[in-house]
Amino acid sequence: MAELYTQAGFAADTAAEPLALADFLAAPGNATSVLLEPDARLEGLVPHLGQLERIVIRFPKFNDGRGYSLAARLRLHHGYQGVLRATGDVLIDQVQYFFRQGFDELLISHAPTLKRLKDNPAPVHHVFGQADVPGRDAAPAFGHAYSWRRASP
Amino acid sequence: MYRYDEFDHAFVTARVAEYSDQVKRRVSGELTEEQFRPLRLMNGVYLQLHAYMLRIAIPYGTLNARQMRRLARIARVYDKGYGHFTTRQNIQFNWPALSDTPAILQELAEVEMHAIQTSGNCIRNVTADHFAGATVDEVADPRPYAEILRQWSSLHPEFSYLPRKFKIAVTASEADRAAIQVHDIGLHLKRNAAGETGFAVYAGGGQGRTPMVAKLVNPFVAERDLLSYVTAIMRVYNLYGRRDNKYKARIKILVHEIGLDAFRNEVDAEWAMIRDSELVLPEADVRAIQSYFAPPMLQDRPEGILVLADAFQRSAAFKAWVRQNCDEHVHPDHAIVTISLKAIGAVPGDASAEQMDVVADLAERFGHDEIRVSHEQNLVLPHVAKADLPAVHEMLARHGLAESNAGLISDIIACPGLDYCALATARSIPVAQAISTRFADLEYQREIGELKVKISGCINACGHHHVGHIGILGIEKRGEEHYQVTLGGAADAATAVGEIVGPGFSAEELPEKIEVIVSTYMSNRASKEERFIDYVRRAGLTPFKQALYGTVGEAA
Repeated sequence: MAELYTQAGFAADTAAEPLALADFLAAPGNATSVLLEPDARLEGLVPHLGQLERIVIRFPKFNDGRGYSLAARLRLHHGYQGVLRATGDVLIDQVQYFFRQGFDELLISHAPTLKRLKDNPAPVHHVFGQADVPGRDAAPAFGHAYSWRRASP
Repeated sequence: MYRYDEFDHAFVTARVAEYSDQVKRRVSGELTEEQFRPLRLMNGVYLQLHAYMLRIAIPYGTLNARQMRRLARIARVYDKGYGHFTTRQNIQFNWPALSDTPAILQELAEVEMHAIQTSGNCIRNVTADHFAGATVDEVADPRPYAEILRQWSSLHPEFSYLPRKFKIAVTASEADRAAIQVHDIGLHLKRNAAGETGFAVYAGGGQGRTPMVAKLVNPFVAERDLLSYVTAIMRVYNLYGRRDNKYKARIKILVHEIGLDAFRNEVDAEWAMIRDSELVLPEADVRAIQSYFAPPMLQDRPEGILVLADAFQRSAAFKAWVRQNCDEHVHPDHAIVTISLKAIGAVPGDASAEQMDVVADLAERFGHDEIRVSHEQNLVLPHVAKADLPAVHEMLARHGLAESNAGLISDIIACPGLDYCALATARSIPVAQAISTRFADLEYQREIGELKVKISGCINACGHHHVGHIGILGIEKRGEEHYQVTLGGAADAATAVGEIVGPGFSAEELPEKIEVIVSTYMSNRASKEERFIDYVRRAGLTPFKQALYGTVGEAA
């Protein structure tokens, strides 16, 4: 049974089922969420971003990293402010990558990952070398303050 | 050289903790091998034929004596007393126990080293000219930029699950000792007409089963735009690189399939969106990183010339070594010393713990505490006073490190091959040893002149055979090891992929056939100044084909 995990911990999943991108583009109506596959092209979606509350990006395999770049483009190029959700093959060792990349919530099915997140959180990194990721990072409080350095809370 | 500050220490400490946890979960069975695989790979742990292999990053091939001694210690305590320096300026240990790898990473962290991203489908250790900061022919030291790229690419959330591995190399010299045109991204540090620093950016080079020379994507990207431009390339590749076939997943295939113009358009469109973002590189930050790479305070040692003249008279061996293994330094009283890890008949790139300690001692006593690893699998002391060369040579000779063959036919690059590697289809090391032994006569090697032999034990081309003046590829044919020979490859400013000369040879035949190739060159070269590679470029493959395959009785 999939469960929803956010930076604040586990949360109830009350979101409506998202529309597949093709269905959404065929009839955007007043739909508020859409599901993107890793090969999604964003051009058609961009004019409708304002009406979307939630974009779900699917990761069919944990090692298919295209969804991270889709997230980067949505946040950085197109100023998307709504919720970003990752779904699919979401595993413990990618959790921090998702949050740093600007995802707000992860729909997790992998039982060991769920157990692990409940028992004791994975060791996480707090310092990074990327200034442009859309996560909630700040300048680090120690070390040389190079422009590319960031620390997460 | 670069020194960790609190930030870097926090970074590697967190990484060791994370990896230790992952190993624990693998050992307990919580993680399957499939799930553990990309995690261990991003920490440099491979599963080889006989054991795990740990690959440790030596960023842009630069290390100090303390770090070298730690590598020696790791070789002694956790391995079989030796390590293997690789064509990506890294070191590999072939026999660590998986359960020891967290402890090894802890030992490395203590001397400001790690194994992050030495494998996996992420941005690998950034390589640079091994003569950087010492050579006369560079625009500026390329290593500060490699260091910035190292920090920026480490655990990049967006670029940790790329279609395939990704290699970046930086050079600042027209001679291009970093082979940038066979990298996914090659950066050539330049100054434009206005005197500003920037990079000619190449992309889509690579070897493997589909060798390609990189294309010039942008002739000048300003220093401030380095990270945004590289990010643009990475994002385009991450989104559009092929993921359906691992053999077609490198960026070279993307560039080739969509074409350079389309690729450049994609990159430019992406770049336009992010060029003025947080990725702008402030000049003050570049200068701050550069200050770590300030050249050592080299004293004038004008007595060097006399010391050398005197020592030359006393020892022909020393003279040969200086001629072959010492290069011009930006300070005229100093030299750049190449320490050959290619003793005749030895395993190319291997060094024992004792040899590593010797090199560390020499670096401390005579070399301003700096050591480099070259992509040709040798070590380099970049700053040695000429007056100290006799002492350095004597110590090297005592430990089997004074082979005077840098750039000669026995200075062979070879991958680990079937002796270690799970992917290999043939052995490389014994072939390298046999060729090196065949040409053991140093005087004849010098007579032949510059000749780069590169050997790979499979089509993945880790031994860079495509760009060897003589390239040798080991394949398996009806259960037998079989070696295909290419001629005319090069990985310098005139990078080219070698051409197959004809049907391959057995391991037994190969040394003799290499001799035939060399003799063909020797009897036909216009003069001693015409190097092997020059001759191949001028004469083509025909004379070699005739010599190798011409019918019996026909004049060769």
